[in-house]
Amino acid sequence: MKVVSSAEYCLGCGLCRINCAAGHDGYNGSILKAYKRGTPRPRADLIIDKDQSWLNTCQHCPDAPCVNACITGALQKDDRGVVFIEEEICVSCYTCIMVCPYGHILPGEKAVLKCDLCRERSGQPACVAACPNGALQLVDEGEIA
Amino acid sequence: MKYVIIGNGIAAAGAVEGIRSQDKDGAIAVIDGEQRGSYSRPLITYYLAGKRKAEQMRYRPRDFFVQQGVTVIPDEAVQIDAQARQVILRSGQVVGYDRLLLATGASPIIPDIPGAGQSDWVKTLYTWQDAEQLDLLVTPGQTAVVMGSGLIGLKAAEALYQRGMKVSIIEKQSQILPRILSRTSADRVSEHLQSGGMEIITGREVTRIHEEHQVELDDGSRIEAQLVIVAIGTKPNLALAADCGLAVERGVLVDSRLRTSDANIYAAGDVIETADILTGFPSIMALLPLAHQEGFIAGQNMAGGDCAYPGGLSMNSVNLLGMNIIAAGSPQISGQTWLWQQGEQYLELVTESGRLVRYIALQMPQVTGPLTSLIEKQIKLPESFWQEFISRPGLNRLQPYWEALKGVQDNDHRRCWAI
Repeated sequence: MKVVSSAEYCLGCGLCRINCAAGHDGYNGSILKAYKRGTPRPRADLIIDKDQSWLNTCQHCPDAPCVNACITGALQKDDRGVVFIEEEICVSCYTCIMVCPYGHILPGEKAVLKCDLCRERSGQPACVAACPNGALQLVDEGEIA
Repeated sequence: MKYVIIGNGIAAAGAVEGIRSQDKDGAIAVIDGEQRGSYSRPLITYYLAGKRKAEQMRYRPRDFFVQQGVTVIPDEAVQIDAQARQVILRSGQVVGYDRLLLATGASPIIPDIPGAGQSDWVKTLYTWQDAEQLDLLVTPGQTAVVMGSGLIGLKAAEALYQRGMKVSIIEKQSQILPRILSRTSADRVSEHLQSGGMEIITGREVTRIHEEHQVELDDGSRIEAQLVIVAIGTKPNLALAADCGLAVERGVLVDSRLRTSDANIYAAGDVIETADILTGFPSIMALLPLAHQEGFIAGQNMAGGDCAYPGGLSMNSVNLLGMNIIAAGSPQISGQTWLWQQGEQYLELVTESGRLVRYIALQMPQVTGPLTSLIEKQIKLPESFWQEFISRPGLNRLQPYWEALKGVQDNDHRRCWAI
């Protein structure tokens, strides 16, 4: 499972990142709480190229180089194949960032930041639910080549 | 099938996972000479710095071995009887195997100079126990000398410095991190550490450690030191392998399936000699990601799989006093150098016929993942691409790479090693 981002439909508005931040760290989806009173920490970057943009989502690789390389065991894969980070264990050494071919993982103070497919939230991941133009889709492995 | 793993480091954990991906029922025994369970070796410097507590040192969940059905034997392997397929332990216990994995790791090199042997104030930092002993010796305000400026040396120096000691780093090469950084980038890192308050002496060798707490250099000068950490490098622990007749060079020799010269014995991690994927030369690459991957592949093969290990790529990421340093590739290949600097950010690339063979990134981790992948996959891109990329490096300047990436996913060794 992964969120696939389509540059063709992406408007570059960034609502995905805003709702990603609000969907994590206990903000319960409240953009106000995350951005006005808290520290918003989006789990993916919006890449803005010369003539296109897209959300640089995690591929949740079956062979996840980040899980292999993690020096502390903080990066793990759950039963559904979701690659997630146990933040308390991470030491921000950035070895995972060095080995992610997609450049998805983001540096962070206490722990690196990465997509967890909103595994603790019911329904669609926050970014997918928030995208106003259908540029983000949750797909199952194998559905898209 | 009965599996025995000698060593309980990263390669051993990888091997357990690799075996279990193929064989859910076979008996696995891990011989844990260090008797500290599965912990993350790189974290010992974090432990020494006081940033990690004992309960935060584990590499895998506490119940990992129970969950995986593994028997951990807290004892040291002293001999392998390859003919009888038995491992003899220090206690006299004999453990039989069908498939054996040597994951015995490496040890610090002690230089052959007077006073460098371990004493109550001259130490190495390689095991968790070393870190515990050093922890007791840390005295704020006193001076520590660190011999060697490799990753262990510098992380040790940072830890002691952050605990309030004065730190002098002695490096015999003309720059710090000589195996990892270029001269220019090393100078930047040196400046950063020196402005933080560490002393760095390059191009000087320690010739003697005097009992009266002095370290003598090859120019005759002496530095007072209440504590010395010897960190000039590591060497594979070859004794078990060599004694039972396995082929060894600088490390244990393995084939592409990580099998040693004995058909029932495999080896993985810091103890093996492997091929550098860029140069093809045999190399000792004591790197955690490689140890886990090698362990995993060896484990799969021990359990009947047929997975090739492609060889390793040298790569390191380390943070020193708030500066992130990431470097990968081979310094041995010469080519065209591309440089970009802005404020504290620095990126150096070396390309050879359009292929990236090395990069060094200071304070700009974001672009390093794709760069590592460009080296690993040896994707060839035109000079115009590199020119444009280095003018303003960023993930939004990698379009030809993203296109190329779609075509090269799923190569054989990767498929072998789904986790």
